[in-house]
Amino acid sequence: MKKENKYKHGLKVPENYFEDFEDRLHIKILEESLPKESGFSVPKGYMESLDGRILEMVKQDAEVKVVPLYKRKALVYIATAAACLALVFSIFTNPGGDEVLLEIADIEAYFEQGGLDYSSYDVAQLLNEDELDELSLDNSIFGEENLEDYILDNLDLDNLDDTTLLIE
Amino acid sequence: MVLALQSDTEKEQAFRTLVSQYKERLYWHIRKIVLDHDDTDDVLQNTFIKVFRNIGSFKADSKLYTWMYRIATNESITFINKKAKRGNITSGEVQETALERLETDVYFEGDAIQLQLQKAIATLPQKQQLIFNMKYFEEHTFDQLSEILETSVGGLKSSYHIAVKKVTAYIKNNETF
Repeated sequence: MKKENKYKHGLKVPENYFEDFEDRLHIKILEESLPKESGFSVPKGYMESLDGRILEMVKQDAEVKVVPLYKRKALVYIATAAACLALVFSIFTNPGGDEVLLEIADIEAYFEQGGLDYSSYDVAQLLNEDELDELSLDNSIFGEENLEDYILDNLDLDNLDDTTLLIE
Repeated sequence: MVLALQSDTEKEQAFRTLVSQYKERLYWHIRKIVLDHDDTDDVLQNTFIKVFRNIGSFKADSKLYTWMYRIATNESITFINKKAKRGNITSGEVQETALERLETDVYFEGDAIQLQLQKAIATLPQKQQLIFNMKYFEEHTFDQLSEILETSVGGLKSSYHIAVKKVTAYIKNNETF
């Protein structure tokens, strides 16, 4: 017969404390047999210099995101302008002698039908080497890691064929 | 802290504080997963970049450190998966290779038993490895782990117990010392 306690101390234990006790003790004993440290170390001064390096990386990352779009647009504008000039010159220096007079309506029609929808690749072909050199590109976005990330992010293994590989 | 990080004027200073407070903990968390120091350095930087980029959309309904640990974990796993894809091998094989390199790694100063422990941990399923490392070495509470790993406390305790038993059994069975 359980003796009824006359005085209650009021102290409580968490739920399942006693039920789980043996398991927890067992685990503690096993843990005692394991090494406390992992054995990994870092180069001298690494942690101290880390703050500066991370802040620098974060700043660079914030900048890189803004630049490429601008430069790409500039490339397209310059290339389009060069293409227009090339077009105009080829018309007015027609060795055949017949002057080709372009009606404004013809030019407008040309625009509307997408005649000037050149990709930057098409346009680059119309420029000679000197002109291409003058177009400066921010090559830092073509770092190996960025390229790998780009390819891996856009890799669609289900639709892979030769043309995809060549264009990418 | 979160408000400061999301304000344009205080963002930089708040971020500096954040980096200084969490760099070591996040470093070791990542290191336990990818094992190599240089790889850890890469992943750690990517982690902080992601934190900085996305702090604007962070919702204060979970804790900041929970969110950061999750990013660090995901970046580590992504790193391993990318390495696997590049080398046309499985992520398990990537970890095996890293483990083999550990013995002669300049930045592993462990003795025989510490090396055995790393090998033992590598035999565990991915999630159990995480749970073991975070509970045993990083000393998170089960409640904190539950938030970070989005698993019930009961489930975590169970996993952790199994992990400890497996790891100690492995070391015992491979005693060379």
